[in-house]
Amino acid sequence: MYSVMKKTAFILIIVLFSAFPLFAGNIPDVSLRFSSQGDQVRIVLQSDDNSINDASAATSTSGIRVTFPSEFELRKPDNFIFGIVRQGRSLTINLRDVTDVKASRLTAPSRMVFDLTMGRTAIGGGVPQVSPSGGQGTAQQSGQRSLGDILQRLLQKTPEKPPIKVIVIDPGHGGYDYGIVTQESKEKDVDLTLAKSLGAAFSKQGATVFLTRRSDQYDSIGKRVDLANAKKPDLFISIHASSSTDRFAVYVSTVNELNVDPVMKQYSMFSAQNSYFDNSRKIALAIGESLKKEFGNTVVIRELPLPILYSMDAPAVLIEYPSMDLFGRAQSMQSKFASSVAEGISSYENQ
Amino acid sequence: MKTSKPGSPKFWIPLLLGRYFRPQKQPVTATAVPVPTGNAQEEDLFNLRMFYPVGNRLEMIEKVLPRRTKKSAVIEAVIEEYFKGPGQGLTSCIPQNVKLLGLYKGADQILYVDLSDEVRRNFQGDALQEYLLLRGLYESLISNLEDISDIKILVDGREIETLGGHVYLKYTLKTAVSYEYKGDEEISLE
Repeated sequence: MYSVMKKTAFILIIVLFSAFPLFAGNIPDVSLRFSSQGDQVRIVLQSDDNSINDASAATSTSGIRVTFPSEFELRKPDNFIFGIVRQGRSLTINLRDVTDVKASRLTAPSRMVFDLTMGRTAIGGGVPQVSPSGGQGTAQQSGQRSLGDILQRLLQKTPEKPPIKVIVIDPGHGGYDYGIVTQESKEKDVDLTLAKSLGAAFSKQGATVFLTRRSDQYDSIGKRVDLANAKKPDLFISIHASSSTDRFAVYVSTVNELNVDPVMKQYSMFSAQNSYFDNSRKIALAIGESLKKEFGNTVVIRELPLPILYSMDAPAVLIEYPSMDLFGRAQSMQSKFASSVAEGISSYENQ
Repeated sequence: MKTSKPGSPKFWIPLLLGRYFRPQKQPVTATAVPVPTGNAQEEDLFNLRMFYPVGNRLEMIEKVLPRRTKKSAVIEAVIEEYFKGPGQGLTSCIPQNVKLLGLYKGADQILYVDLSDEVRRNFQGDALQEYLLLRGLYESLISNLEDISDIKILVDGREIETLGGHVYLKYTLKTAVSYEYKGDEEISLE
């Protein structure tokens, strides 16, 4: 009798263990691996057919975001060179010093492959660099950097991400500065309309919102910067029109590379954006993705030393919308724009 | 008598202001510069390397003009050719009917370029186009002149904050547009 019970218990244990993977299979594994050769880094995400085939990916040189059809278990090497953020079904890889990203999908086994071209500053390609003392040197002087050097540089701690509670929105132009003018509309008016819509969307989400102007008035760039910085915002967004008919552009500053006299730098606002550069780029990417999803238009990220951005003491982006007449005329487009940008910020906050 | 030391702001500020408000040379009036249409080989010609904003980039175009001996005439030629636009069927954001009102050169080799208000009124472009417009002018002048260290734009004889509401012109062009635009990063969703 005892031996029969023993056998039954043994069989039950075997059955339970063999059935476990059937339940555990609901959460698929995603394994991440990477390799590098020269200035190329390859990142591979491998999983089952469904997870890879139904996943969507957004890429830019500042980040890769992959959204899987369900939640997943991530396996990755400890020495992975980029920062990773997991949120529900999405996986974000924050890239640095990358100049190009190519994405592809392969089968047997199913995997997504991202081929990155690293920037010359990351791999020590001899780009002239100005030392803090003002003297010039080249990265090559210290010899070709090893992958270890690159990893060290890439793993530098990024600034913390404070919650976004106070937002300043800057409608471009105003007063005698009309911006772009068509027969149907003036940029200054459309900028203001969109800024107000966006402000309402952020207010609904519980943020405190300030606009640099609420009416058709001219304010200098300097005054806008002072007004915005005085509010100590967690985020600054400037709204302008693009001369393109179909392309959104999200601008971030290029503070670090400005050729500024050291004395001028000391007394100007040139360095204000330095601490926020990474977060500004992440916000630009999140907004860009959201606009792309909502409108389906081409969306680009641009780096330019624009004073309204490099002088801001907060994460700062400038959004240019296309088809000014359409955005000026159609309230539905204005609402879509506002909800899309607000959605992008929510997505950034949840990263 | 109390005097300011060279290192103190009291010493430098009057010097800087004096240099700015009392240019060393008299304004040079702009003159029309015809591009040669006859037999080019018989004339004494010179090439200008011009950088025009075309789409999302600067396009280098060489222009051939009758030789000028005076440096001020070369500067005038560069600016006038620039505001004529690239030609060759290329579309550019360069504003129309801009006149050169004057040229001044400071002791520090900064060239002050005084343009008519059309440069502001007739400019219709976004942030990138404004940046490329100013960078193209800067590159065109620096590429054709050896002893210019920097350029400052004036409009109707006055310093302006911005041309089209995006780029800051209280600084010199070297500071405002020295960054080399690397192109767009397009976001793609798979």
